[in-house]
Amino acid sequence: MAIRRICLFPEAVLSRPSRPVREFGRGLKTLAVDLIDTLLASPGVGLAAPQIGAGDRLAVVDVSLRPLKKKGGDSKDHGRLILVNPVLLEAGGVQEPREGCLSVPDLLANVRRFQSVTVQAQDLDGKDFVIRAEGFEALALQHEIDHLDGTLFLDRVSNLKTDLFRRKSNP
Amino acid sequence: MNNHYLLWATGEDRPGIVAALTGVLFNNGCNLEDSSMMRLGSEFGVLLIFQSKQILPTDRTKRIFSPLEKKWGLSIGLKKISRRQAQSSSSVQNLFIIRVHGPDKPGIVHRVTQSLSKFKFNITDLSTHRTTGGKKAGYILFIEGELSKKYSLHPLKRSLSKLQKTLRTTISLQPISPSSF
Repeated sequence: MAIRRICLFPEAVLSRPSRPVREFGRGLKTLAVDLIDTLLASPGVGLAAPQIGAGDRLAVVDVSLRPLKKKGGDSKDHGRLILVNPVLLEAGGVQEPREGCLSVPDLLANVRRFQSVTVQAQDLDGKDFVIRAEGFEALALQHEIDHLDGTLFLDRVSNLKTDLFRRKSNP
Repeated sequence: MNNHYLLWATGEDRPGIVAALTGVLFNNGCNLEDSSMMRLGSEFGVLLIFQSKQILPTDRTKRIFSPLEKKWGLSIGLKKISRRQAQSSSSVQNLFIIRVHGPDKPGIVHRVTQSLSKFKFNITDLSTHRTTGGKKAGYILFIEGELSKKYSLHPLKRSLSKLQKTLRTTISLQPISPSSF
């Protein structure tokens, strides 16, 4: 419906935990479409509602949009995921990729993340589902769930000498 | 016996500075040990520790760097240091990372570091970033350092929590526990 402005650090909405979604009506569906439209117009692979100024626990992830896919990398991804009230159920393994954020476009950081995750969420009609993701998709899911908790990737930097980088070009 | 020196240099960044500096050291029989280099804005800065088998008189050493100062527009300083000073402390314990982020305003670094100094928190690394992409400028401050064993963690946490409200920023304090495998 609309490409919305992506909120940038230090806008307060990015540091606030999102409200759980209770009503699965037209308003939620409109917000989801706006999130998808904004994501598709951006260079990212995931977007959470706070990033477009909304306080609802809703995020979209689509790692098939990744511009440079690794050969022989992640075996499968789930395509476009719309996640209402997502929660991390299980997690395992460790990966530490260099991560960026559409809301903090100046910086990149090495962030320690789980290699595989199991996430429970609801769809736009309120129906529960569970997905298991690995690698890059697991990373994207953790990044977006962090946004819904008011956490930025900056909050996960553990070594400023080796883990933080000023981005040399636009995301 | 080896002699250790600390050299610092700053100047406008351009390709070739590091090669020129290290070339002078190499050609004078010096061995580079630890170094840290960075670019802030368009300025390049380097701190490096090297050792030399010979004592390098400061005036002579200055002379060997003076062509570099002229050619590359660098300001170069040098001092002799002891072997102990040249080595990193391996006994650093009780390490923490402090992350501060929020809207930019004057005094963030001063207020945070002042709070830390009251607890004899020894800062070992500090990095700041000002972001200007959004409606308002943002400020990000990362600090790593060591909390003296004489001080307990809770008063420091309380102090930072109070400061967080005053500055209207997010401040977090997290222990760093390096894992060895």
